[in-house]
Amino acid sequence: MFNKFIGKNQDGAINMIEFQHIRKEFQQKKKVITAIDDVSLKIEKGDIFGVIGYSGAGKSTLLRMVNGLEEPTSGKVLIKGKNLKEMTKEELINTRKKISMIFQHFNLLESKTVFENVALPLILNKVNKEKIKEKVEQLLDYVGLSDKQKSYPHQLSGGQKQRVGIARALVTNPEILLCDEATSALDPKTTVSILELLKRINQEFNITILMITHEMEVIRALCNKVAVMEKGKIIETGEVIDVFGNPQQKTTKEFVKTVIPDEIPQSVIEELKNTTRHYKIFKLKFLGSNVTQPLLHRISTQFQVESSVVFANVTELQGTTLGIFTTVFYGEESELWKVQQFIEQQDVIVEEVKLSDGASNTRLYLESVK
Amino acid sequence: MGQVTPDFILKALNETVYMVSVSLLIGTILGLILALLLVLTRPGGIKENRIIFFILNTTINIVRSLPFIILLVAIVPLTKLIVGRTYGTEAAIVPLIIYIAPFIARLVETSVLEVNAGIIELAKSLCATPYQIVRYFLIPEALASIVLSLTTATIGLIGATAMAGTVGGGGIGNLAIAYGYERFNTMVIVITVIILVVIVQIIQTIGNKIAKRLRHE
Repeated sequence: MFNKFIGKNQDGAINMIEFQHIRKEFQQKKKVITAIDDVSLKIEKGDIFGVIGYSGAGKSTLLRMVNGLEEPTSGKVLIKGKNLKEMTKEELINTRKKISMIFQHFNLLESKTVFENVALPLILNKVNKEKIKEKVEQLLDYVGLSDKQKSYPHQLSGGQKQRVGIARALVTNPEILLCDEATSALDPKTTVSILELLKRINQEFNITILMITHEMEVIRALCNKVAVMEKGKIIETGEVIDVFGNPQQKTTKEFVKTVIPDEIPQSVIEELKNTTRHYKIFKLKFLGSNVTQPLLHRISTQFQVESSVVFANVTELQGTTLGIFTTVFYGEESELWKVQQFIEQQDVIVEEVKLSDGASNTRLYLESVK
Repeated sequence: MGQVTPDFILKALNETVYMVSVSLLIGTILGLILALLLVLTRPGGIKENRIIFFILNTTINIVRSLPFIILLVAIVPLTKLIVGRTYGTEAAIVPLIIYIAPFIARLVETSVLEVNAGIIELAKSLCATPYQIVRYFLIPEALASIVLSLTTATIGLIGATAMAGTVGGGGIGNLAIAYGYERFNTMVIVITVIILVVIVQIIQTIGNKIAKRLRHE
């Protein structure tokens, strides 16, 4: 529905990572535990794809299948169209070396300096010393840590440690960057700066990013696509703007609520319950330029109703805006129906809100008919 | 002090240093190899191998449960085979190695197992080979802790050399037992104990210093 807000053309894009009917079972004592249950996902080149879920949802296991740290019990993991399982040993190593990873707890070697930590992947690849020096200095400069080359990890702040982790991940010129809760151990301000850095990396190096998180704020600030995972299943997936604008599943709604509140304040609900007038409440969601259209004004001039906004929120998302206006319309039953029909024809997402205590609504209705 | 002259003490000290350093050197090499084999082959390890792990684990436990004095006597035939004699300082070194290597193996195993699991995950994500994992990740990260383990092992070894007198190994500890304890010469006991206390203090201090260096504190 909101495809016009999507910057990228989906046709002909390369699937950088593809999960096909992934299942993962763990044997725990005599019980079989299903960590991932028939997951299929496509991540295109250049995507910043976020997988969100509560802990134990299986997202971490899924992420580790991309670089072979975990293997699926059944199903396929394709990297650039090629099944990891069907690759020769050499192909597999070459593919895996183009996939980097950053970690929640950074996983820096405490015994090595910042320079040595970043150089490590190149040392393993037996790159010569001058090349290593050049590349490491270039990346430390990129992440803003040129002056920390000789420092040891315990002398750095959390944000600086993650920058070292990012420089280390980039040093091998990867095509895919896996982020395992990369900001979960950081404070909100540092999180923002790390997310900005990741976004820059995605744009400047065209690196596809797959990240798992339990923070919706990370998805909102960084990702263009999202998948919501629960109990090993993907329960909802799509463009971030669509999923945020119109979440379908209970868990998705809970996550969205953490960054975009949409509930009528309790005091307002109490007041509405006490009113004797006839009313309907609609939650109107505007996307992009729609937010500026004078919808409420047109309704009050065309129909015999009065309106009052009881909740409003405007959020910036993927360069576009999502506005939520929960509005009460007072008026005759027939007029309210006409309003509802009118709104449904407009380019907004509309949802009628029923106050939780349904009985009082019926009572009000009977009173007004009398 | 009777026949116990400063020269005599110096000779004993010399013997102790000789026994400890040779058995520590060889014991450390063997201990490190055993420790790495234990870590690699253990269940869930990088090169899991139940058979090798079981054999090593059991053998180390058996050797470690023998009191040193028993071990010393029990392996006399082996000692003769290796150094050609059953008596003297060299003859004491063989049992000392067999005593200390499994001890070092256990201590170093613990040090290496303390390396953060995330570091191994990082190594795997970088396609590091088992050799590279040991060389570039496990040993550097465990090194400070390994140094402290070796310090503990060295001090244990000094204690064990006291019993080396049983096979004519000599040394400070033997001096204390043979000339002090058995001949009721309190002065000799006091002097040797003071020497041992000083040696242990020095070794522990050096060990702590090196470990601190390695932790870059």
